[in-house]
Amino acid sequence: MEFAWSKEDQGFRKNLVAFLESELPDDWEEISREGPGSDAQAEFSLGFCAALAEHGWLTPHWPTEYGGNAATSWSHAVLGEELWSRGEPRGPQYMNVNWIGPTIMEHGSDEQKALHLPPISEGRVLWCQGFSEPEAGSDLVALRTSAIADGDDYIINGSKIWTSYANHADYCFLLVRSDPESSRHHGLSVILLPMDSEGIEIREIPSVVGKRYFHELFFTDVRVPRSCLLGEEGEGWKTVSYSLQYERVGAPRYARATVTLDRLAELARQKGLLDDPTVAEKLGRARAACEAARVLSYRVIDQRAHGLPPSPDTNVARIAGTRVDKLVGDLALELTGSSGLEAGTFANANFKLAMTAGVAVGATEVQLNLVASRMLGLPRE
Amino acid sequence: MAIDFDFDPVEQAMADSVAAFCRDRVDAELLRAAANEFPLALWKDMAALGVLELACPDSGGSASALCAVSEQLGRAAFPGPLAACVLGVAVLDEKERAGIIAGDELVSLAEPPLLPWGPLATHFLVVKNGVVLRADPPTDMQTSSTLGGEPWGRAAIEGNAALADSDRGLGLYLLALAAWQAAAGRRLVEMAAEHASTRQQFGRAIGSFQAVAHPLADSVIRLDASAALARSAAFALDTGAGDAMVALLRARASADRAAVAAAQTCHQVFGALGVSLEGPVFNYSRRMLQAASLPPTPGWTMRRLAEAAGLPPISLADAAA
Amino acid sequence: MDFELNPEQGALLDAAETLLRRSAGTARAEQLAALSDAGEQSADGYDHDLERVLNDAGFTGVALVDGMGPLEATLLTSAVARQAGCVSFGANAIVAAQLLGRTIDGPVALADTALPGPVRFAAQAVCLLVADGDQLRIIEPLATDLVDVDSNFGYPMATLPAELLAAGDIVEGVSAHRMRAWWQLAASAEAVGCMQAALSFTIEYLKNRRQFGRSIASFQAVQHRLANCAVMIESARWLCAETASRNAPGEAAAATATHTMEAATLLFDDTHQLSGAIGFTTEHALHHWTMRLQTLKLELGGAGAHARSLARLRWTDAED
Repeated sequence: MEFAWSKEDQGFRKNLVAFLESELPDDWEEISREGPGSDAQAEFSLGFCAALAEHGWLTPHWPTEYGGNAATSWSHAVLGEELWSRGEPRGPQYMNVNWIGPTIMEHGSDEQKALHLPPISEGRVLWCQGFSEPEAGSDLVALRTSAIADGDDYIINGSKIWTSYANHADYCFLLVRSDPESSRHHGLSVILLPMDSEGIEIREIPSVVGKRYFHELFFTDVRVPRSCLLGEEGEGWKTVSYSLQYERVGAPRYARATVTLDRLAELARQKGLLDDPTVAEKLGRARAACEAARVLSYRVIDQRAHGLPPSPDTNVARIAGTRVDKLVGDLALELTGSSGLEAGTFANANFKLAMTAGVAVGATEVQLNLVASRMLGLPRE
Repeated sequence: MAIDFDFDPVEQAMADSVAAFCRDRVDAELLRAAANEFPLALWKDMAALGVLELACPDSGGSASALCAVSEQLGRAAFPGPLAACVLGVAVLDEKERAGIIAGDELVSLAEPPLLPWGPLATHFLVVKNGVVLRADPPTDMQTSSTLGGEPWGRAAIEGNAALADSDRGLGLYLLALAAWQAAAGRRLVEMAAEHASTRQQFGRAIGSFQAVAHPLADSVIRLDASAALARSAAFALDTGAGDAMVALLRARASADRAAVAAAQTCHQVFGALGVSLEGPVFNYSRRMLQAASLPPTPGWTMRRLAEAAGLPPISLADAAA
Repeated sequence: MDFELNPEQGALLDAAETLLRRSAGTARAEQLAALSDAGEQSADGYDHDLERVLNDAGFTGVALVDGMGPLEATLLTSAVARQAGCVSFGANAIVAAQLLGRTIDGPVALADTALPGPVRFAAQAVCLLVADGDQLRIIEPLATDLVDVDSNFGYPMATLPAELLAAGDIVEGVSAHRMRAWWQLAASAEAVGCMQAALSFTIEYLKNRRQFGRSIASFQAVQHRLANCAVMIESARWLCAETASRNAPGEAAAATATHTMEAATLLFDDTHQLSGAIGFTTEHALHHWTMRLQTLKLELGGAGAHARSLARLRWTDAED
């Protein structure tokens, strides 16, 4: 047990920071406040990801055959920290590299890997995630969108909701029910759906978080070839469980919270508020929470680096991360007072992020259930 | 001795008429639209009920009546600078307050350079050293949009003339905020409980999960306590009790904390629905959060409470407030 | 970076666990408490036997062994606390070892002239380290006739007279700030051990306890509180390890202590709330850990004090 960064990772971080400092434009911060779904960010991300890919930094931890440098999970963590703390210039593509790519690597056919992995690894493609439905939120396996086999094709009918970034996406990682007789987690499949297929309707859901963030997708007799099926038919839950573990600790939200907190502290200092012990205490507690979330996230990376299967530590890390987002989001509002409510301020941007923290990628309550049953061995009701 | 928090028949009648008005005129669609364009006609019709007149000095209108109507407005998440207009009516002279009472003119209680409702306001007030001052309208104001969807402005303005009856005005301001806030929170919790009892996941209503039900119950406890504090503070104001201001400060602080916590809980219950602009949740939570951030700052409130308790002021920061 | 124990660390902790199961544990804690209550001479609640065994086996000096360091001492500190060992292991194996480059052959007490109140192990200590502003002082040998205060807080503690706090020799070349950082780490490591034990003990109890026709541990509200406790402990535990391995820089130590002591508050509240009335009885072992959590929290001023010091260190020009 030891906690030092390897020389390689230290070097990587240094080079990455230098790259970011020159690559990110002066107005990047304003662009970033609009959120990853915005046109501005989506567009920026394509150019940025391609540049990152040229350095081999988009997917460094992937095997070389798929466009990576076979670097460790740790370098992926470094990448995440430096990018998230700067407002995630990879935009919606962070999803691709974090878990969509890894899932295709794990479960995809050779054709699928050849088709999808290079564009992801070169930063040329945008994906969205088709999971939640109106009747299937926390209870994802209640989903009903169907994919019925018809000759060499599947025909998809149904709808998805809360789909981030759908309007820009080239593909959708779609979870469907392929066995009409099945229920719950049986009989599910994953379809890698080209978003230019006929029969897909996209409706933006205006939201607090920002433009083009949430969408509804409606599928009416959408026909796709069988080659779009990822993994085995009916085994979609297994595939998705793999993905969810990555998604849960994919984005190091603590990295962003840490930077926000430092800015809040600076603001407080300028206002003379750091001398106020109640303010100092709140800032200190939030800082400690950031460190707690960070070390738990590292724990998960460490397990991946050891090649261990996903464990409840991913849920633990997620819960801690959500706690930080909320603490910092609240503190941002409190310290900036009314101006934190103004659209376009950094406090406002963070507050909006904090609003979704407790429900994104599985509500906190679900995470707690999983910790209780899988880590503490507590009896199911 | 029994403490009666019920309103008297006159106060109750006012509350009922405001409640009926809100039932008729305010719905989710209106609240949503109000975030883009303030419904001035609706505001004027609300004012015509006599709500703002209650704040007049020597109007015979009681603080309790103001509490009662503010509750009903809060329950509907009624948009607009209610508390600031109440303050304006209480401290400005007869000529100036006429327009406010009629619902034709709005008031901005500013925390320069931030001017809540600045772009729509006729009257500008600031609080300095616990006293309400009139400020000249800004000559050069930038507008900004806010989480609550309210039109705010940015300009450097300064208070120039101290106004009479500052304490009473501030007291009514705090009361209106507290009563509105506690009621808005309570209504949001009701909506969340309704949702929880119908929304099915994992084969059962989500409200049957303790992790959903208990936080909602906690919210009710806190919000009901805040509402009771507001009512008792109104009573203190009406009976000329010496500690009325302290009671009002407490009521506001309590209501804001309870409401913000309740908003978070309700957002958890509603899941992603909470962040949709189409849904009813954000109509409420955005205004609750905005109300909790309105001037004077929480620091100001805490400092005043500390002073009242005979404690030395701990914050250097609010010296200007 | 590697969160897994290497073979040497694994062997060390296994050996310590074996020893602790024999020489510590709640049964031993009860025994010590009974002797102390009975007013047995030299029965002060301090486990001198355990201390001797730990010293003789080389665990106390582990940080000074080649290839080992403060991380191993920290892991052992938590292990001792988990087994409810009433000894100044953290103060010795972590603080003294780091500040003095040696360990002490007897109980160690730590004090800060800015912190009022009784000092843990002061009446038993043969060595006292005192932080006084920027200065670090040592009083060794220490022989006093201090009397422990009457308290339920799990450790013997005594009030140090002012003249004693002002006495001693300056430890050259070591600042009091370093002492405070190592002290924060040591207290956090002990708290982690107490919390781990308190939680697993409570979980076992609740699994078996039935009310309303079912196991209390099957209620969601209960499960979520326990799960939150587990999250706080996990993070405290890893922060301690990381901070120790990086030699406890001031800011990291303050962050570790802030988070750990927040966790301590949660653990105390939740384990007792969930255990009900039995949790306050002396027959139920929970108090062996939870009352000590209170002491550890308060020893350096509580989570709030750590948080304020963290804010100062991170965001002002205050020294390390």
